Amino acid sequence: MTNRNFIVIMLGIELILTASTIALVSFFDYSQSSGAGGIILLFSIWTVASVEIITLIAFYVYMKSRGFDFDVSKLSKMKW
Amino acid sequence: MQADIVFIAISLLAAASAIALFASRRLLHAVLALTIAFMSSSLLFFYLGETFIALLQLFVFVGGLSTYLVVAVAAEAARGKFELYVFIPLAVLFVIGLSEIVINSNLSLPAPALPASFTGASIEALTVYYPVLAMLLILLFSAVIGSILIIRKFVRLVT
Repeated sequence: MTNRNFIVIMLGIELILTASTIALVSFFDYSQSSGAGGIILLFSIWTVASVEIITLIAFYVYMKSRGFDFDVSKLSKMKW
Repeated sequence: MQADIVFIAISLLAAASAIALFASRRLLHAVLALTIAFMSSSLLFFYLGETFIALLQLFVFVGGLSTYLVVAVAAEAARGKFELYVFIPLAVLFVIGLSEIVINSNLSLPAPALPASFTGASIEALTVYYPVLAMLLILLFSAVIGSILIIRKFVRLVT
């Protein structure tokens, strides 16, 4: 089940963020809170998820163009 | 009873798509699995009675970001032997089927919506929480600028 592809790992983080939104909305439904805190927290998670996808695409295109391997076990340091 | 069955079906779909994301060998299949996970989470929001959040999740994540991901990955995959149009009728059938399930079943539980009134919550968000909103905007803006810089570097590399 282990997948060392860099992109799949990032998509997994995206999945974790989606799961956290489900937990958040379920909790605020349960607690019947009427404040804006839940919405703000939800927007924060969505923003982080969106930023992750934007940067992921940029890195994907860039790494593909440079011929980098997406196997993270072969990456030893970050190069520019 | 019917709502419970639909809830279990949506939950199983979400779990299966999450497993498929890691089990798939091709990157495009992983991205499509993530799209299905986004869609099933949106259906769960519908089930909770949060129609507004469900629609936001559907439009922004499924309609926007997933399409962005699929196009970017498919553009690279198209250089090989993969043909994207095989998935188009499947995707259409999938969306029609899910829409039928959502429309024909009473998915909403008798739970209150997330904020009591969206107007009050919006005013509170713009007054009390405005530093958080500003930080989120800066984060998004810097990500977009950084991505443009990386893409420009890539374009310079190609041309």
